[in-house]
Amino acid sequence: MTPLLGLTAVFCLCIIVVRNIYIFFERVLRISIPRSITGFYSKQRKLLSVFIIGSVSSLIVVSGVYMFYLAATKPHSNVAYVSTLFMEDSCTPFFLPAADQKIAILRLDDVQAFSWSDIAKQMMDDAFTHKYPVVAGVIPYRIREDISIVRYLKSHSCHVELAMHGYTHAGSDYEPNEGEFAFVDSVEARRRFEEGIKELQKITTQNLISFIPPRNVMSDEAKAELLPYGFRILSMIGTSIYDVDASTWDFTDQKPYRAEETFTACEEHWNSGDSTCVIMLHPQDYAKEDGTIDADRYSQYTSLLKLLSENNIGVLTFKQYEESPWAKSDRSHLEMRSMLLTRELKIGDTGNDVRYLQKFLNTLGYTIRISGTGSLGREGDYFGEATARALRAFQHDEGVEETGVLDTQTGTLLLERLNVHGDDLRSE
Amino acid sequence: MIRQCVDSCLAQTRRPDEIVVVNDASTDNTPIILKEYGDQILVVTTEVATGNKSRAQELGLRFVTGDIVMATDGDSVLHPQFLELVEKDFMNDPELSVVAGYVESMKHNLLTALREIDYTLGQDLYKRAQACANFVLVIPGCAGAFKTELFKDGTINFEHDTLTEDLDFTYKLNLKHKKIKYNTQAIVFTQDPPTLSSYANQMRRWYGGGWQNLRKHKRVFLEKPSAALILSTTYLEGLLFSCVLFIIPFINTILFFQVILFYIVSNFLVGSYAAFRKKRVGLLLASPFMLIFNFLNSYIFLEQFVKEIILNKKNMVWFHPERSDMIAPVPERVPISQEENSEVSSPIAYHVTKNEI
Repeated sequence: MTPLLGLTAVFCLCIIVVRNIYIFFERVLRISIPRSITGFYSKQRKLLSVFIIGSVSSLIVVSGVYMFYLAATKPHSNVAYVSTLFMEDSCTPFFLPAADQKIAILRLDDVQAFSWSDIAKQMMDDAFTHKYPVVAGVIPYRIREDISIVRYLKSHSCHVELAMHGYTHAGSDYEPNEGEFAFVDSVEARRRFEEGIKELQKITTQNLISFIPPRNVMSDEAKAELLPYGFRILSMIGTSIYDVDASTWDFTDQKPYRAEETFTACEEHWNSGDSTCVIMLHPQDYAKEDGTIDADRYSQYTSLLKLLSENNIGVLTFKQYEESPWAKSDRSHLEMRSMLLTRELKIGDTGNDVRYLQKFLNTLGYTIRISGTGSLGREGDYFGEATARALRAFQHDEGVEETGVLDTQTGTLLLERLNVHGDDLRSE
Repeated sequence: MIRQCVDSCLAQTRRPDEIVVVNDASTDNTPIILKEYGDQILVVTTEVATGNKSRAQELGLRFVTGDIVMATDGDSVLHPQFLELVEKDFMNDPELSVVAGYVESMKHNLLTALREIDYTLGQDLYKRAQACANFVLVIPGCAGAFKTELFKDGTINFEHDTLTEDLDFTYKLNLKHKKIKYNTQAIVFTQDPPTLSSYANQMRRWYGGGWQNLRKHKRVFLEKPSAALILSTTYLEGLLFSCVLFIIPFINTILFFQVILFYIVSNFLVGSYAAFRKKRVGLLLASPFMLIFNFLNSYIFLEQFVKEIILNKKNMVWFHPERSDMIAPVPERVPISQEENSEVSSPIAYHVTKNEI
């Protein structure tokens, strides 16, 4: 590993050994070997010298190059990152709200390496002073290059739920502003999920169950891959519980909403019967051109926090809500339910939910088809005989009546099996 | 300190035939101490300080009348059998021109303990190998015994254009293919810098002088293949080591820590060897701190390389090390082996002159 840095020492040892061998030959065996090479002609000496210098130099140069090559290619983490590996997640969560309190969820998107990360940290700090936890939509791509944000997320792990906010948050090369998952197929979606989960698992021990698609848009095929990868919670505009209820950015006026405006949006939401108001936040909303914080705009955020506090609003993360008493009874997996269980499915039906059914069955090993439409990654939207056969096999294993029809009971079992499968997949 | 030095010269088992002390216009109580010795020593005092050991030595040599002269520093102490051992070497081999002695550091503090470990490794391994290869790199300025005819007949002349004149001198001897013997039992005890700043200054002088002399005597590479081997490994590896130490942490910190760990372990091993060899437990305890030495030395090595070779500046300030009252250790008597072809002849006669200038 440190080759040849004892080069001179080794050479010296060799010289001493060789010399003693000479002496041995001379004294004991009485054989005379020419010792000094001053007897050589000058030209021969020069050649020998040149040869020696050449070999030693090349040896040194080669070891030098090798050392630097090793340094450049070996696992490359620097000290700062290594130190984060030993940071304990200190954990005493803020107290949970009472049953009748109105709930808000602070969803801070675009938490990433370097860009506006100072503002993001500031926003999280301010939430913590009000004893409010935060959902951080983290962009996993190259997050580890910013030791500072990694450290922050690790040390505040108890009050920050990490949600995966896409993988790179970049659209295609042609449309860099489109949603990363807007048009991806299954294969691509799986690849991005895998990469993103891999990166996030290196900076947290949290179980990642929440997904926030960039630009709040996601293809159906990508959505179908969420559960197999363990994402139980999908937060985007249009979903039922965790959709965005209040935004802090006014697109028309291109500036943040006043705190009162955002709060009013939540109030309307609470009044309409839904107890959770998901507030979408972005750190760049409060940034000046040069990336530093715009104190004026930022005051809207701090005012919003104050308003929530004054009105005795409870704040939770997605995960905390999912696991809290009110949510568990009738709202758990509602997201995924809404993808799958809006109606009973039987032979002859078509639709996206059929696609999900086929996807889920294939994922769990109840192969619909080996290849072609209906195979893993190529699910179709038609409920045919092959789908019914696979569904019956599932129902057999689950110990329920093999009807070949997707009813509520079978659907629930299917979703539960997928959760377990997703966890298993994650822990591999 | 001068007292201990002169006393050690007078206490030699083989009494020196003359002792010449060059007093380079010293302003402390050295002249008073020297007066106490009366006519046992010859004192040569300069009117104006030369500030340069090389010049002082050249002056002193003019007053030497013996066949063999041993040169040392005023703060060094000779082992009582030094001259006896050296004389034996010269007797056994008429072709011998110089005998290089073995340097040990006087006990003082952690810094000198680290220096002693350095000396032990350098002299027990590197210098022995150099002697085997017939290219001793440096005859220490405080522990060398020479045939005076080297100086008198113009074979070697003194030059004062490098920081380390002992190295300069040795290079010249090697170029002329003079025979040098390295005697590990002819010990001289030296005072080594007790503070970091004086240590750094001394290293600057040594490494600066090393590079200066390398450039000055580059002919020796072609003249002596053993020189090519010794010098190329020493200097090139030194450069590589220094670069690795300072550049790697910026490229890959984990690898850097692994390298550091490796050096801590090897320093410990070297320290144990030194402690065993010199019978000083303190050396073993000091070995974890060798790492600091490695860094400091490497930095100065690179710094002087840049100054002398790349920037081509010639630095000639002689740094005066701080002197303190260190106690010289009580040396053990060394058994002297009888060589087959040794002759016991009568001591060479000198006469002592006593004029002061």
